[in-house]
Amino acid sequence: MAMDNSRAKGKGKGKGKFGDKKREPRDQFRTGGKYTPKLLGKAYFQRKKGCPFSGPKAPKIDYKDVRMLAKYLSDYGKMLPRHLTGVCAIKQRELATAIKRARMLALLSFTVKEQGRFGEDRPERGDRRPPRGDRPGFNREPRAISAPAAEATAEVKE
Amino acid sequence: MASYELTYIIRPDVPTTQVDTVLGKITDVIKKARGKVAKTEQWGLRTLAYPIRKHKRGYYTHLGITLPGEGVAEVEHQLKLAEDVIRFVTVKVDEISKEPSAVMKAKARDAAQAEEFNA
Repeated sequence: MAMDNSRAKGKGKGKGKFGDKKREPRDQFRTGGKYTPKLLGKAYFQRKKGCPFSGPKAPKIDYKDVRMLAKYLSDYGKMLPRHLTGVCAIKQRELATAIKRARMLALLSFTVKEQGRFGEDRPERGDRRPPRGDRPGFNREPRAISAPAAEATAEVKE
Repeated sequence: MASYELTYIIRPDVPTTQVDTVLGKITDVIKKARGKVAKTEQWGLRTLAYPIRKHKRGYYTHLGITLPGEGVAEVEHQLKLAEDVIRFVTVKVDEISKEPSAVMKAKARDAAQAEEFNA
């Protein structure tokens, strides 16, 4: 009850302030309110359509349908979160199992290897890593303790 | 009797006839487990999304089968023992669809596109 009262009061105040001018609800900006074209000009986002797997004409979630599944993966082959795709929670769970099944069958990859900026120009895997000293965390001088160990292995080899 | 979809991959370095041999063997196992093969699809030689046992390609076979619950373990056991099979997945489904699967559709679509391109 108390809540209702305060809300009603707020409304009343608003009316008093802009009393003579009729304000449409879409012109007002409130936190958590909708962004409307009028408020933001042309640069506004289109509203999400809702779950693509719900409704009468929705496609079935099938682990064999790679094309369909690929729409819900990032460029690196990771599953996209629901808030980006608009899939509802129930269907997202189904989708996740379908993607995992497709991955088991090597229809989809678990990860996509990082592509170099120039794609094919990238060196082969063996040559790609910089020498140890150039990598962060490996640029220390070898410790004294490791020296005898190295000698021991050398002896074994001989 | 429940319906299942069984897909398995055969390594690419065996002769093509091996695909049918393995299919025959699996069918026998399914029949022995008092199951039925309702649908068979050969997806053919496909490129794997990632290497499996160092193979980059593989022959896919997709089966729609009905099996009593106890039979699944037996069929999977035999698939595990089969050396040519590098991967298999069994999925329980409500019913086996009679239409060609999405993979076959994609294959047909690609073939049609290639034809168009060549013509």
